[in-house]
Amino acid sequence: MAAETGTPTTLTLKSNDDELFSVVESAAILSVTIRNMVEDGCAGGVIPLVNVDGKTLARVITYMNGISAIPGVGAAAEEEKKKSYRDKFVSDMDFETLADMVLAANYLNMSCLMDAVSAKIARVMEKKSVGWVRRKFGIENDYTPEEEAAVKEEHKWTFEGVETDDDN
Amino acid sequence: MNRISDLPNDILQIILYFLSQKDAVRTSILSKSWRYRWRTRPNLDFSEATFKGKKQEFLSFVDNTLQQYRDRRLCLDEFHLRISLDDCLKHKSVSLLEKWIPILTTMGVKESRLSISTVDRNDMPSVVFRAESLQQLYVEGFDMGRDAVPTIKLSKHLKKLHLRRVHIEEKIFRKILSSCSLIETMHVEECGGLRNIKTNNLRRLKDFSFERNNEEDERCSIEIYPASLETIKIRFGNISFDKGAEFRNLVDLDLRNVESSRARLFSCEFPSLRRLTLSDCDGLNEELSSDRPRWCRFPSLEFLKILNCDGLKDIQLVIDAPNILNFEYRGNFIPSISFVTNSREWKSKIDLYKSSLSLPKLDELLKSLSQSEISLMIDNTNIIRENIPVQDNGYNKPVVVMESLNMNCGCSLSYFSSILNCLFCICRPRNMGYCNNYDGGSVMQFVGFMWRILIERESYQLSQLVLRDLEEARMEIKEWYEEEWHQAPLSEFVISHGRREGYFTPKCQTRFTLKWRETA
Repeated sequence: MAAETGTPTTLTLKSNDDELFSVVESAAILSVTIRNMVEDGCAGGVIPLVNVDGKTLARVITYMNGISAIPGVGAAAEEEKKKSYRDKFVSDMDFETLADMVLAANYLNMSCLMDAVSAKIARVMEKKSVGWVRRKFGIENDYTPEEEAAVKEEHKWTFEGVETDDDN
Repeated sequence: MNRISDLPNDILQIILYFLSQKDAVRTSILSKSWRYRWRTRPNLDFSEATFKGKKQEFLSFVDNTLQQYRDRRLCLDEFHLRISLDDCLKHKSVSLLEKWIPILTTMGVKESRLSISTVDRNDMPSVVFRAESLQQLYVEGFDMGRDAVPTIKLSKHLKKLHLRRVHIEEKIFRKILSSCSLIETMHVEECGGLRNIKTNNLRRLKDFSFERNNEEDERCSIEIYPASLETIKIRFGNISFDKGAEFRNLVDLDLRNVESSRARLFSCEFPSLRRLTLSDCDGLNEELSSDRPRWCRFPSLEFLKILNCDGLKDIQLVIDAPNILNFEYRGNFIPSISFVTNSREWKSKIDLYKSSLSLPKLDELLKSLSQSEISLMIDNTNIIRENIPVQDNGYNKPVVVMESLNMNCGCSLSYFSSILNCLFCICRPRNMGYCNNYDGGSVMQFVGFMWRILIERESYQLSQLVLRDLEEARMEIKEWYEEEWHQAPLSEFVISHGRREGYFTPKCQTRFTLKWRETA
């Protein structure tokens, strides 16, 4: 490849809405999906990512560049810096963006990003009512009122001090 | 388009993993398909506190859930249980523990954590000693000294051990330590009965802390294996290091009430140390000779605190710390400490209390700290005014610029102004304030004096030197609810301060900002 010349190889990634992005290979292969595609000889042209849209892919690339830029000063310190970067990366995302992110991280097989986004989604969910969670996750309540009351009684300790109204 | 509802199951499982136990169980209300989903995640975290006193329900819940996992052969990677053995269900709890812990072993739980606590001095349930897969153990209040315990050993997989108010005999402790050599974190807090701790066989120990609250007659002596340690914190214990030991990975060292003569601190290497705190440590002088300066290299040091260490009185230290960010000193004498550093933005905070101060020594200290932003607090106006060589034109060498100077008062106006004049020979503070905000009467006196001397420039108070260089002085006030300081006349201070009733009403702060002429 370009190892001898020392110039980093760049890859071209294409989102499912036909946007093109240029990424340094060493950052791009944080995605195991992309790494496998490269190893299968796909890197010559453009790498199509059918399950990510342009907006989300742009964010993922920002993440890839940010994480791979963190210098390796020592395993523990480096890991701490990466964790801090991940926490900051997810900190100001709204729920819809987080959902897009988690699907993208899953498709691209990026486990650390996946964990960071999932953990953030969990934290967001903790403060919300049952109605909110149902709406956002598209879950239809198929309990009868009696069944629902029974479930609530079974685990009543989890409902103490929590809003259960549907407005939120 | 809203694709959240398309989240596949395996992603939902990951999100479920990150929820607290309580929130995970609560998802059972979402829909029928969610009713038991919470019971499929590989992590369980049971804490008695979340059941708010309903112990029987808690015990049943843990028991039922664990049985479900076992019967359905579900994958359980992490198990965390926090339980107290104090109430009338104590015996039931112990027998359930004896049932649960073996289940964890047979299920191959990789990471299990147990916290047991008691207020009464009960014997530690022996099943804990037989828990083969424990990774973390927190024990509060038990007795681990009785002969009733048949096999004294803990899980060899134990990574973290925290003992608080545990009564444990030394030989028991030693046996425990020898059985779990993979320990990475060990905290021993207020455990009576220990006189000697040797952790040399713990080659993976990263985080060690030992604390006692009272000064006991005989301190526990501690020996550790240096190479793996990253954090050490000791309160009222005597730690000894081997001479020349290299603490390759140590980042944080916090010693309070430690007899540091045995520590041989200054003959060890600390290449990664970022924070060093020495507080009330005796015996530093036994290690260091007082005839020549001792050079101490701390290549990574960022935060240094030296508080109440009497042994440093006649010692000269040169601290070679290229990355220093913050230096804090408190003591009843002026230390001879200088820094060798490239650091451009660092701060030093010096708090001198209850001592007589020598101006030349203070001058020397301030000059050695002049590259930093200095905050000086002098809690005593008994200043020995030895002669500082001052040339006739009033200039010595460039006088040290200081961020703030806080002082005491409690003397006459003329004495106070002579102190100020002496201090201004060696330093030029940007701000000045009173050092004890709670002493109502003295603050009034301080502010009154400062106003008369610096702002009204009452005749014959300030020396020629000062009058020439002090361009402007203002008084500023900041009420407890304000964020910014604002300039204020004396009357405002008097009213504001006079309004204070009671000891604990929030005070307004007062300071004087001084603008000095730039000297060449």
